[in-house]
Amino acid sequence: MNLTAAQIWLIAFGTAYVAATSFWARQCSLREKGARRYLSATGELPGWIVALALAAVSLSAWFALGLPDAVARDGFSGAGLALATIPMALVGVATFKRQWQTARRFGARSQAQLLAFYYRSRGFAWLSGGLAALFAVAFAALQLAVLGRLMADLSGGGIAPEPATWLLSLMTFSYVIVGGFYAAGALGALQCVLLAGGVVGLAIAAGELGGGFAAINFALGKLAEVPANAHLFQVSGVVRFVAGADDGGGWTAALVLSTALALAGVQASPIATQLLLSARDDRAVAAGQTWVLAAFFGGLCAFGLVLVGAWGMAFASKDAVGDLLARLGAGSPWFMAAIYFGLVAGFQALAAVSVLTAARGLVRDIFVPDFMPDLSGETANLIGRVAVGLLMLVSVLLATRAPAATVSLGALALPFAAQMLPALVGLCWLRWIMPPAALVGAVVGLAVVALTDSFGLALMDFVGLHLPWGRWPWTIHSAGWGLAANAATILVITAIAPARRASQRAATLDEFFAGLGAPRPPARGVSSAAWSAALAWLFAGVGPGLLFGNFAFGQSGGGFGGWLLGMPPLWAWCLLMWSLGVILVWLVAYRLRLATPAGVEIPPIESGPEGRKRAAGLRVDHLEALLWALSGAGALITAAAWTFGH
Amino acid sequence: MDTDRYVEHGIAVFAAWGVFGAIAVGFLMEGISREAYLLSLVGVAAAIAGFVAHLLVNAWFGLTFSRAEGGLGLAALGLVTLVFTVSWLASGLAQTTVWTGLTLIAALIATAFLYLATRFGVRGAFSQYHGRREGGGRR
Repeated sequence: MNLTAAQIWLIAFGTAYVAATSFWARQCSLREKGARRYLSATGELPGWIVALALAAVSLSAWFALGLPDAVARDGFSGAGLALATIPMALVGVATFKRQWQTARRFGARSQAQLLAFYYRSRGFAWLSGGLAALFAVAFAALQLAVLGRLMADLSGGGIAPEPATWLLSLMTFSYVIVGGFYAAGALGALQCVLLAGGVVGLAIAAGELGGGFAAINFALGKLAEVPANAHLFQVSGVVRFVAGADDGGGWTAALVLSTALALAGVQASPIATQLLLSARDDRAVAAGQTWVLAAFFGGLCAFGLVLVGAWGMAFASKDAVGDLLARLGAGSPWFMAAIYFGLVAGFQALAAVSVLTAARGLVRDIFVPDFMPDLSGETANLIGRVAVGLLMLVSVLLATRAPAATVSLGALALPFAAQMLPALVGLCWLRWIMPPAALVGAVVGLAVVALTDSFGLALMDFVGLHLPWGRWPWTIHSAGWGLAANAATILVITAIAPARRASQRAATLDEFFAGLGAPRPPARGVSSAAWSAALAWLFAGVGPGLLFGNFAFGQSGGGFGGWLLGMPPLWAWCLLMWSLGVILVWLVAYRLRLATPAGVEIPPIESGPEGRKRAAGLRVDHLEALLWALSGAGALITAAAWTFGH
Repeated sequence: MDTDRYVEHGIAVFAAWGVFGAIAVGFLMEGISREAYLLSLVGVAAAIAGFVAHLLVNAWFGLTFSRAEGGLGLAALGLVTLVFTVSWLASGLAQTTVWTGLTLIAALIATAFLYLATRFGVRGAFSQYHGRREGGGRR
């Protein structure tokens, strides 16, 4: 059997990569307390590792694969998504420090415990666990399927897409099952660096194969001169009142804003919180969010990945990354293989952490407290390992056997995660958000997200209810609809509920944060200026102000000669907004001290949020209730589909 | 060194070599296949940058090279030299490839010697092997 150069280099880099991940997973498992800490590594990872791993998880391979294709397909209005790293960093800056401090003080080991503790509601444990499972199964499957197909293409048919997908899953499973969360977090830092290297490589390849930056822009200029291509070089408006965003009219400012909110949702996900709580201290939060995520990766997205998309647009390629790598592989297979495994590293950073977070959530935060409170730690870890295997099996089966379901389910992960944001903001800042309001708001938000995205529409169609709107009505992403419904529900419940503080826990937290020293700005007026700047940036960067980008640096349809900076005006606007966004994040993180460490030791209190032990043995009554609820829901859906469906 | 620091140091070293090593291999191959010596030089520079990054990581963690790392480095250098010599003698390499190989080997030896000389002095650099054998490495 004669191997091609591309196949040889894919095998070489793949082997080296697997050897590295397996070696470090083994080293991590040999640690003294490895068995005990398999499902989590609370307070054990150094800050710099967590900062890098968080960036890798936040962007994963999704940005590198999706953003260039969005630009190549939909034009530079899609480039606004490159600015999503700024809202992401703002979410991290606003919530990470206080989440970490609260968890350290009250002994919470996951987002489920954190929210269940503060809001005194087991509902959040279920929401958080379910959300983590959605990331581990569907969102990971989405990336797995794309990377599997890509490997098949790049190997020139040497391996079929399905075996390639299984191979990638096995590569992830091999180190996750051995090393546990500590290895997943530690390797996340390595994978972050490899992902960054891969993205830089993609951008250089686009520049090289496109004949240079100026040549690509010249080709774009030719495209822009054709009136039929006008929609590729400008944002089509603030909002379009159409049934769904798939009407072919391009991106509106509302769609960019709401999609950026969806992408920022990953920072509110249980995956991000789990990694965050693994940090020994909160010293790297500000640097991680400001310099790693907003500045470095933001710049890579706004310039590098958009350049790849621009290459795709200029050379009429809708699959920009795939085509670029295939062309690169023909001449320089070593670079192609290195870049490909950089993308795989980004995927694995997310897949490994999410599958372990999901296993932990399902076992430690749901099964143990609600069904078997006296289960030993070792047995729980064993069940957790089994859960890891099952989740990864479901994920790979979904990726290979049900691509349509993978897409519609995977698309829910980020907007669903964004629905945890109000509850987290309540925990960190807004004491007036009461427990029932936060929980009901989140549930309503999830329902609205589902009903405005393809999954809910398909489900409703299945049961015979044809909703009069499509995916993302009025060109607003489902995350935007969900957050609006979520916030409205919280406001209504808070307004009609008796006027009292959220709970005793709210007072406790207020007292705790006051004891740490409130984050005071160094000078009067800095705070209001920073918040005004944040609102202004959201307006101009990812909001209606994007329309200024259509003409701020020349006429979008004027061609290369009409562009002041020798690049499409909207792209130049995005680069300007990225640089201003970095300053904004720095201002909020450092000058307002929202993310800088408190500088004092936080001693944990003795009784953590896990609370007292309840009845021993298996809680059959709870299990029965769960089975009845699931059976009832299944029966209801079946009856509705049978009666009204077709 | 405790296990946590061992893992953290190792991850940082792998991150440095993961990026610079891939760049080095890529540009060396590119230079050889295109017969472009300048591209090969970029690869050599990337290999040296990887070594320097390794030194910086070691300095950050307050460590020196372990015996395993030293052995791996020497073995890699020996392997590169052997493969290059055999290829050169056996098949008659292209001019660019010969210069690439010679530059790489010379640069790696010079960098390693420079490191030892700056750390232990010129005389001490030669006696490092004996010192290591007596005192042992980091782990």
